[in-house]
Amino acid sequence: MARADAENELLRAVARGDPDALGELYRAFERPLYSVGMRWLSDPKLAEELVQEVTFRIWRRATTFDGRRGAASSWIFGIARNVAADLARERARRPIAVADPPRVQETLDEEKAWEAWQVSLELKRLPRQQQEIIELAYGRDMTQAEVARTLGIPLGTVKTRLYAGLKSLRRSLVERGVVEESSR
Amino acid sequence: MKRCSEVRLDLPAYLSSELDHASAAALDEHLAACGACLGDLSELDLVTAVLSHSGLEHRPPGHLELEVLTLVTLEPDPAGREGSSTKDLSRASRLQGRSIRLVLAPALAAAAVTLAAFGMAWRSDLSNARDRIQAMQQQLGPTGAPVRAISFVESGSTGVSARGELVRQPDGNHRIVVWAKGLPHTPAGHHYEVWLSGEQGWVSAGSFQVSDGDSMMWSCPVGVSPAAYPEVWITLEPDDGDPRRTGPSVLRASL
Ligand SMILES: [Zn+2]
Repeated sequence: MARADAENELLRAVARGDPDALGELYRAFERPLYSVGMRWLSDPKLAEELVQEVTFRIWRRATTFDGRRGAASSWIFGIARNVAADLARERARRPIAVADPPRVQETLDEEKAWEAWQVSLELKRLPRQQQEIIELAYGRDMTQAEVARTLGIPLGTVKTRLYAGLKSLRRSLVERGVVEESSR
Repeated sequence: MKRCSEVRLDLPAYLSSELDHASAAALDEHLAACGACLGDLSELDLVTAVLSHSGLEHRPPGHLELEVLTLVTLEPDPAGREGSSTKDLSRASRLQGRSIRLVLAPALAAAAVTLAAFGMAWRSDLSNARDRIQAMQQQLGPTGAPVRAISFVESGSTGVSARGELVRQPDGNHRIVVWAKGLPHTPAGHHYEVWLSGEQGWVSAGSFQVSDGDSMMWSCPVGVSPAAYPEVWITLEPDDGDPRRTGPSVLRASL
């Protein structure tokens, strides 16, 4: 798949010490990383720590990435899972008094997180205009009329872009095996 | 009757129950007679179901990218990672029970002194990491070596987090570097003050203001031996000319 190849290539550039490649990789993965961080740790500060630590590890260990053994996104997801486990253990030891401690998950739900990971990666690849409408409608639970008002565009435009965005998201999620191919 | 291409644009709104009664009824009627649109509906249903469980509501804060990329790419030896000096620091931090450390590379620690001037770039979204590094390196003075990671604990539940480093400068003096997130803007007539405390009392290490953005990096020389003043405090002090510590503490840490 061309996109996966592009990510692998970026990771190889990171291995050569190219900070621009790291920036580009970061922008592709920040959102998915933060999102799995929130899913696993239920704490915005820890989710930020996860993003930071994973980025450190990518920068340090990119030379050990082997594209023949799997895609860059799986490699990064694996790092995120390890960091999340470290952070969860760390938090259990942290002597900070918190009035209402966030619930700690005993085990990390890997399958659902992997699914969400791929959704947010694919979402990032949609045209910006479709992406922002999907985020407002499904990430912030806005109605289409609210989205139209927020973005200052006609409702008809929201409908067109939303439909197109959902359709191409579906196609890429079918490719990634996240949603099933329809039978017709 | 509407054409299929028009009908389909309404399917997402249909799925989220946003259509008015008449439009929904008309769409029902079309779906009952049109297998193609019905198939489209079930596809969209699957995608929107996945979307609603994918954590889209969690958005990383806007300042994160610049902070992370700046810190990561300022490591002194990006290509020769395993041999870099940050590795030892990382290990030292882990020994202190922190599995996550903020590695302030020596270069960055020195750069932090000038970060007040760099504040604009710190906050603005410079997309090119290399430019950013060069801009920071131009401001570097002599570098120092981080000797200890500082883990701040908030004194209250204000949502502030901070880390820092104790850095030994080439001249043998120490410097404290603090990196804080979520510090409230300094209220009018106040300033934040950094203190060292020990058995011999309190010593002010300097003060700073937070005026915009909620992240700040700050650094000050330490005129006393950190061994004799092992506690670090950040307090909010009134501008009343009283040099003593009178304000509430916001963050504290042990060296
Ligand atoms: Zn139809």
